[in-house]
Amino acid sequence: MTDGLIPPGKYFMQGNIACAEAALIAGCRFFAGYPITPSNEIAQWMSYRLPQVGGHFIQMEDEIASIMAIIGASNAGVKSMTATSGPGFSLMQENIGFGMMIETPCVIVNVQRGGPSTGIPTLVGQGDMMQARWGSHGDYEAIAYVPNSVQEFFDLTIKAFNAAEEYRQPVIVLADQTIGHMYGPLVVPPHEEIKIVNRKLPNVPPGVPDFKPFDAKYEVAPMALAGMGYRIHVTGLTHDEKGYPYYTHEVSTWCVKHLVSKIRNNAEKIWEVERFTLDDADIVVITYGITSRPAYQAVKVARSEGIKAGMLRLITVWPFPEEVVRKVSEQAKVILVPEINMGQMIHPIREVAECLVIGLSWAPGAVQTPDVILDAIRSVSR
Amino acid sequence: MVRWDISLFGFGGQGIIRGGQILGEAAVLEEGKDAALSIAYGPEQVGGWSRADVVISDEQIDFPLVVKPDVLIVMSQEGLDRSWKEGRIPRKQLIYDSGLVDVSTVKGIKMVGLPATKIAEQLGRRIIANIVVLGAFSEVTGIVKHESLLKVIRRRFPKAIELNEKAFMEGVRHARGGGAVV
Amino acid sequence: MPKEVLATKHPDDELIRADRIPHIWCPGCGIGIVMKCYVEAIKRSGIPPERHVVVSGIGCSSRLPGYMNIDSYHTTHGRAIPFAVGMNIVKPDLEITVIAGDGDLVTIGGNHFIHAIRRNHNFNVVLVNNFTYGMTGGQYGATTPIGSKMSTAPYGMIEYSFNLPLLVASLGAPFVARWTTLHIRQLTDAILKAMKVNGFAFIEVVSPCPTQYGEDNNFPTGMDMMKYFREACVVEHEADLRKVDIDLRPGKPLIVGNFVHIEKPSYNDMDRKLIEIAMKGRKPYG
Repeated sequence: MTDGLIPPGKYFMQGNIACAEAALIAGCRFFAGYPITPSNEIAQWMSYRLPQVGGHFIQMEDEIASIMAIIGASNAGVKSMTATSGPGFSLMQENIGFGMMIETPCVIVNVQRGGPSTGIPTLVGQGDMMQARWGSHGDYEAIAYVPNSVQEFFDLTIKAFNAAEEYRQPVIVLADQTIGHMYGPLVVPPHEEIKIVNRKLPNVPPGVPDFKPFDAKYEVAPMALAGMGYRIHVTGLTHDEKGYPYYTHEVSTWCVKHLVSKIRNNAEKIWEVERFTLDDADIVVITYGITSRPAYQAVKVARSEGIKAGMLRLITVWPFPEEVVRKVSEQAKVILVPEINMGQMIHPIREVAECLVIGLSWAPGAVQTPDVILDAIRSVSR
Repeated sequence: MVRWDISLFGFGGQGIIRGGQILGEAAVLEEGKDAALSIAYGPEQVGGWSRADVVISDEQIDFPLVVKPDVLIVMSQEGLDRSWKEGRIPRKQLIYDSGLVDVSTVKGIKMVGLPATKIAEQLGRRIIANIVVLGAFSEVTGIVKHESLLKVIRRRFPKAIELNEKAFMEGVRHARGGGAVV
Repeated sequence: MPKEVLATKHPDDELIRADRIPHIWCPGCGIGIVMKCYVEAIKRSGIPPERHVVVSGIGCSSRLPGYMNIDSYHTTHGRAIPFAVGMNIVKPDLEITVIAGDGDLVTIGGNHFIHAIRRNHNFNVVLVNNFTYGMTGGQYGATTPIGSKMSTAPYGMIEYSFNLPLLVASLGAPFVARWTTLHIRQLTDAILKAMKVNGFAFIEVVSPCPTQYGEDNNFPTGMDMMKYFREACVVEHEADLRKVDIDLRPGKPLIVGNFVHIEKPSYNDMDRKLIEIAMKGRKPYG
């Protein structure tokens, strides 16, 4: 008996399905979404599986409604998720900002496809990296995880829920069409070994005078939910710790600094990277997501040819692991940045790197083959 | 490291994707290998081309996609033509449905043909042609063992175990006999 | 001479955030009346204030939740309804009331509005129709009567406006009403009825905006609009909704009433059944 959750064991599963099963294990009990390729399998599987575990699925009229519905559900205390791809992610941006402003935990999965605009709906892209960071107006600090396998899509979906609950904000999983549609091995660990984080609730009873839903004495305030009796006011306007709107620079300073600080102060705790033959590497490939897969092979072949190549893989792209990249760049002669876009993550890398940084831009529609990256490694090694 | 890049190519309704799933699942769950399956379709919702690429390896797979297959299984003429046009010519082995694919233009590649769809029809279910082909694939290449594939097939089709086993073994038999080798 | 304190407590203090007063609404505005009616309805509803939730979007009427001493969510422009949808689905026992303006609910938010009615979500929507975007400066919207002079229609509004009761009824809402800010008893009763409806309950409240609408359209004060309500309103509960278009010209009636009051299963009812069925045969993982 696993209460309807996927039992521990080994599976051969599609990435999108693994993501959905992970969400259920993480405690997700509400999904709202709108059909879009190549994320559809997540919604379809959730529509089938969520009610089996007592959860709720709804297909909304668009992606704006989807993100708002999950923010509404989360404010009633239920872990919530949506899944989409580029065009839908664009539609969600305003209200991702709303979720940030009112500090609502939720998870947005973006299975990236080729863009811009309608682009190549059925083929891979990595063009939404910067949108994940800066897509909504105003200041906030995004958290975005980028999986490179079916297993990692599963693992990082759970981590995304945990980070959302811990830091009280929307968290993004930036997958891509290849990972989403790919079938691969999945090991589901015993459930009791999976770390699950739940949001902190107020530790004072409802009715205490002067209750502050965004109490400044906490880095992340415990979350009062609708119906608990705290009678809170929540607004997307710039607000004080009581939740009341004010049009003053003083309140704005507190409000915005609070939003970014809770992530900036914990960035090193949130960062995750993988180091691959980096110890003595002077040519470092910095990758993320599916692009790391050809890069492993390229680096291995380069090593076999006597080239001191290594790879740093960003598992979290936001907050950007700048200290890690800076350290790697101190020892490297050249950093190569292959991306399935015209150069996005190369910008924060260049901002901190102390060596030459070369972008290997690649249009959406296909993953680079190992040769593409290997050729670049060889040419800079000469 | 032993890595096999396998491509199954046919059209919608032939169970191409299912065939790829069975292959990957047998490698991962029954033989403890790593496998990656990626799928591609033509834009048509019904009857368009359909391709399942399966990478199987003893070790963790780095690059999970198939650029050029070691083994190509084609169950439609378009599958053959498109693979050649895209440079996805098999390095080691071509397996084809001899009732549906004309291979007269193919030279210099090891080939095994068998009338998989006809065999399936004779068994009463056209849809199990993919199982016939998996039997032939296992017999010809040995990349995934008969019993591993059969285990997955039994698990997936508990209501038609006998029929599917028969289809699989027919594929094995035809491949063993050389099928309609050109 | 010390001032005599006549009262230290207002009977509505329990439900109003006194620390947020004074409010932002202009003299003659009708939104405060809507708020008073909502407060009365909550008090009479028998549902404890802790279970009431008010959700709004953006605009003058969407500021109402900021003055209500209950759980109150001031969301983004046009998106109050999908927020309420999510909240209602996961916590059906909350008594959610969406209060927002015409520009918010049926202009930018029109798509959410029609789909929420179609699905029969179980919450109340009080739409304060003042014919304009008050907060941004008197622009025209989907309810602005044809011919009105607006800040973005200086030559007069050339578009047709929504007939909201007809629209909402055509989508199958179990409760549809229209009142004005003159009809405080009827409006309070209607909100109370809405709270008891199982499904989507809709109330259009026609409300004066002397500052942004009335000034250029023959209703320069709130009182002018209230006088118009008194003269033009005809209560007709069984009205033919094809004939309830709003036309502010002299001599045309403004039809008000509780137009629709039927029973039908709500989204929550269907969702609950679906979950019951799904939980019985849990596959593939029992």
